[in-house]
Amino acid sequence: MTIVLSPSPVTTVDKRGSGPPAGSIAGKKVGLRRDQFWLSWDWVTDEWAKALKDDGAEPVIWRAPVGKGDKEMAEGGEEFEAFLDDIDVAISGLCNCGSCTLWAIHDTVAALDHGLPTVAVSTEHFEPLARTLAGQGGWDDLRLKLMPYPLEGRPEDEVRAIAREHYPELLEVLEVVR
Amino acid sequence: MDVQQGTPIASAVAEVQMLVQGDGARFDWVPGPADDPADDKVVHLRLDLTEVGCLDCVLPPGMLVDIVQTSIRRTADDDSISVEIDDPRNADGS
Amino acid sequence: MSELTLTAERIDVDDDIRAFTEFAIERGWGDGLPVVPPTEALVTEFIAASGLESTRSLGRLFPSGADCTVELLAINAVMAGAPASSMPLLAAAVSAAADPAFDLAGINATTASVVPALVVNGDVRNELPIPYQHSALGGMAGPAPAIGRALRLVIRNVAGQVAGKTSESVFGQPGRVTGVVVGEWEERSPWPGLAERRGVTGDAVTVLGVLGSANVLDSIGTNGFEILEVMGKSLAFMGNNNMDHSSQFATQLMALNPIWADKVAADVPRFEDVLQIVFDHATLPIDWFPTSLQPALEEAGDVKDGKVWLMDSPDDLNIIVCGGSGNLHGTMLPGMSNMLPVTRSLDASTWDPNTTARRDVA
Repeated sequence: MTIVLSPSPVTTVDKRGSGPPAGSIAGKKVGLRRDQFWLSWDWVTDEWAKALKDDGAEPVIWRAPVGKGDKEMAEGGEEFEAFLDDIDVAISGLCNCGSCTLWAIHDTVAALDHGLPTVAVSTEHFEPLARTLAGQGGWDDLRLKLMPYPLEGRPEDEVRAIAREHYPELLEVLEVVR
Repeated sequence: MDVQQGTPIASAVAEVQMLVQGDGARFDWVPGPADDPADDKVVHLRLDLTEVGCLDCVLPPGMLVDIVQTSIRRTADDDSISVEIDDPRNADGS
Repeated sequence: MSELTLTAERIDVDDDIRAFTEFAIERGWGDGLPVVPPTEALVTEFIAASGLESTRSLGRLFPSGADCTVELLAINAVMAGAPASSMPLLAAAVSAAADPAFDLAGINATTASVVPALVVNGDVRNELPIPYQHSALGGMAGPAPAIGRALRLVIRNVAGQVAGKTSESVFGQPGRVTGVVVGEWEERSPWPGLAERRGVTGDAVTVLGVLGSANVLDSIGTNGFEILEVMGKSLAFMGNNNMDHSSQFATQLMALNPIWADKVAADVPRFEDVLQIVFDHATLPIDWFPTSLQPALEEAGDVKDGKVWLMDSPDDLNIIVCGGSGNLHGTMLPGMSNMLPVTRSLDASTWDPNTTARRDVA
C-alpha cells in the first residue's frame, strides 16, 4: 500500500465563485431572462438584445412564468430547462424587489449550476439581497450588473438610454472578449 | 435570546435588515420569554411592513425565515441558532 | 521557495499499477490507460521542477470553476507519466488555457470534438524533447503523449470535463486522451515561429482549440501558389465548424512540411501574402450547399460574391512548419469557432493575469 494525493481539488459547496467568463459571444446564443413584473426590464433587455445581435451573438428571450409571493415555480420548470440547454450565456433579471430577486437569483443559480457564463442584473437597492441569495445557493462571487434605482416608472426613452449606456459594463462583468 | 450590542449575533441581526429594507420593510428585535433556557439560542424578530408599498414584493414568509436564519447562522458562525419572525402576513399573526 | 505544504487529500491505495489504475477509474480520475500513483515524493519532485510555489494558481478552469494550483498540476502530471522537466511547459499551457479568451468552458462543454492543441516554440523543444520533425503530431517515441495526457487529466480532474455529464461532445476524439502536442521546426521555417509572431520570444507555448487533424496530399507540389491553393481549398470543407451559419469566426491551424515551406516562401516572399492567398482559396460556392442551409448562411452575412468564406480575415489563419522531409503532405487542424489562441512564455514571471488575447495579435 502507499499514500497518494488526489488529483481533484477539494470543493466546498459554499465557495463556487462566479462561474465561467463568457469569452467571445460572437456566434453564441445569449439568453435574456425576463420576468412578469417590470416593464422597464423588458425595455432594457430589448435594447441589450439589439446590441448583442450587433456584436454577433444570437439573443434568446425567455419570460419566467412565476408570480410574486408564495407561488409554485414548477410551472416553468421544463421550459426553463430547455431554455438553459439551448443557450451559451445567461443574463438573468430583474432583481428589483424581495420576491422577484428571489426568483431571478433562483434562475441565475440554475444557469450557473448548468455551467453557463451568467450575470444577474439588479437595481442598486437589491444588491445585498441578490448577493446573499446567490451565496446561499453556493455562488459566493456572483457576477452582478447593477442598474440605477428606481428604474421602473421612468419614461421609456430614458430607460432605453440607460440600457444602452450600461451595455459595455454588462459585457465587462461577463468578461466578454471582443 | 437577548441580543447584546457588539456581539456577533447583533452584527448578524443588523445585516439581515438589508434583506427587506429594499422593499421598505424592517426587522425589530424583540426579547424572548424571560428565564427560558430553551430560548437561549432563538432570535426573535418582528417584521414591520408599515412603510411597504408592495406587500407581494417582500420575500414570502416561509422563505424569509429560512433565508434570515441561514444568513444569521453564517454571519455569527453558529449553526445552533434558530430564528422566529413575527410576520403580520401570517393569518394567525405569528 | 518557502517550505512545501501539500494540501491535496491523501488516500491510501494499493501501489500495484493495475490495481491503482482500476481504482482511478472508479474514482473518476482515470482515462482508461495505466496511471502512475501520485505519491508525495513524486509530486514534491514535480513541484520543484516547476520552479513555482505549490499553492500558486495557474487559473480557474471550467466547468468546475476550480483553481488549478501547481500542486494539482503536478499530481496529474505524475499520473500521466509526464517527465518532471515538462512542468514549466505544462504550467504555461494551463495558464494559457485558463485565459478567458480561450473559452475553455465552451471547449469543454460543446457538442463538437475540440481539444486544446499545444504548439511549442524555443529550446524547450529539444530539451524535453517535443517532436517537430518526422511524425511531429504523433508516433515519435518520447514524452509528448504523456505531456498531452497530463493536460487532459487536468481537464478531467480539475476542470471537471466528463464525457456525457459536463461534456456534450457527440464523438470526442483521440486527442481527448493524449492531447495534441507539437513543436515547430523553427530552424527550417522561412518565417518567425508562431509564438514570436504572436509577440512572445524564447520558450513558449500556444494553445489553440482544434477539431482533430487531417492529412492534405499534393503529390506534385509544383510551386508555392499551388500548395497554398490545395491547403486553402482543403480547409474549406463543407463541414468545417466555421462553414456553419452559427459561427462568427474560427482560427485555423495548418502545418507545412519544410520543403513545402521553402517553395511557398520562394514564390510568396511576404508572409502576409501567404495568409491572404490561403484565405482567398478557403471558400465554397453557396450553391454547393444544400438549399436548406443557404438561407441561414445568407442571413448570417457569410456569403460574399456568391461564396461562403471560411475565415473572417487572413489573421484567423495560423501556419507552422514541422514534419519530416518526405514532402508531399501538409496537415490541417480545423479550429473551433468563436475562441482565440493564447500564447504564454514558459517564464512565469511574464504572465499578466489580466492579459487576454486579442484578435488583432498576429
